[in-house]
Amino acid sequence: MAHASSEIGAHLVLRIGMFTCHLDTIIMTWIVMALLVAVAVIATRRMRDVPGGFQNMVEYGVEALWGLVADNVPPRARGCFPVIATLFLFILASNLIGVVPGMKSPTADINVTLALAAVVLGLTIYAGASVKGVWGYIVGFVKPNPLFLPLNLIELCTRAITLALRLFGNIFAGDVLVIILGKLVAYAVPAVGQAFHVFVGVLQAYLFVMLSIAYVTVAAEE
Amino acid sequence: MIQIDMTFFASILNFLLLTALLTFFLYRPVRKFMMDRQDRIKRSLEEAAQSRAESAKMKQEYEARLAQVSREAQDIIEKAVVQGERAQAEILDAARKEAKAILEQARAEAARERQVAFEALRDEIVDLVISTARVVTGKKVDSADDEAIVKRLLEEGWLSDAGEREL
Repeated sequence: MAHASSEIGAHLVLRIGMFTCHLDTIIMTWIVMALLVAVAVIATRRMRDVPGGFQNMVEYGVEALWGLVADNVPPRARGCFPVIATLFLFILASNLIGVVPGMKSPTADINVTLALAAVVLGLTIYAGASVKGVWGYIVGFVKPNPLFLPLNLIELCTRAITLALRLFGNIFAGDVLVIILGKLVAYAVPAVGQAFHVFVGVLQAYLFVMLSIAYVTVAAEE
Repeated sequence: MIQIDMTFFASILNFLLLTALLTFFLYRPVRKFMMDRQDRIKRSLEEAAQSRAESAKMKQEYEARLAQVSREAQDIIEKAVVQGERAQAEILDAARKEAKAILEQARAEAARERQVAFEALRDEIVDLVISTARVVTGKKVDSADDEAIVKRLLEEGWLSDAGEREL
């Protein structure tokens, strides 16, 4: 195991043979996962017909995410709801946990954002193939003529890569901003920086999910 | 430093695991609960609407029955009034007849009694006249002939109609 230095963007690297992984990112991801699952279990433990404050918030959140999917995605591709909702919750929680002192946003690691983008890419392909059929979806890449095949493939990959880089860039920059402000000024200004980081975190989570829904919708349209 | 390594694959696995966990612990129970609640509320509303419709129908039936009963009661009252009037007329008629009969009977009775009284008085007057005549004439005037004479006198004019009326 190699220790990360205090430099910005450095990670605690775990080496297993020829493979390496960012242990700090993995641990922070597990913490975020544990938090989300704990909230889910607590929220659904004793549900009542007349919801209280917490249950109300959870119901509203789930219903809002379902509304986002139902309003945009064609009915045959609405099976993507769990993935879309988890994308939003995971990215939001990952972005916001970086505000807590001593914690790092998993989304400040390009591996995580690329993984999320890969999931969206896979979801897009799955939605397109499930609605149009595998052959119909593949044929869609050579339209309007076969010359567009490379362009369409590049577009498909670019969408995923831009998703990953946008999220990574914003959150990484937010983390950098919070660290720099914390080193430069002692009090009020870092708090403002953290508030800005929260705003950016919520906005980026929403943006990522809306773009994912848009890509899935485009792929699933007849 | 930006480095792409096994974290990428681990993140994909973590995300898929999280998706499965949240589906099991959050999305499915919450959406199922909300849909069940929606169904329950919908069913309750439908039952309420059905009850309301049944109530309205029952009210309509009751009102119709009430109107019918009211009509029947009115008919019964009208028939009773007609019967009562008829009975009243019959009773009055019978009473009048009976009163008339009683009156006639009373009149006949009175006439008969007056006749009896008149005859008794006449006998007394005859006796008185005979006694008076015996005193005045000093003769015995008690024979049957004399009595017959007095009676005839009385009948012929001694006691006039005015006398009879006074009696």
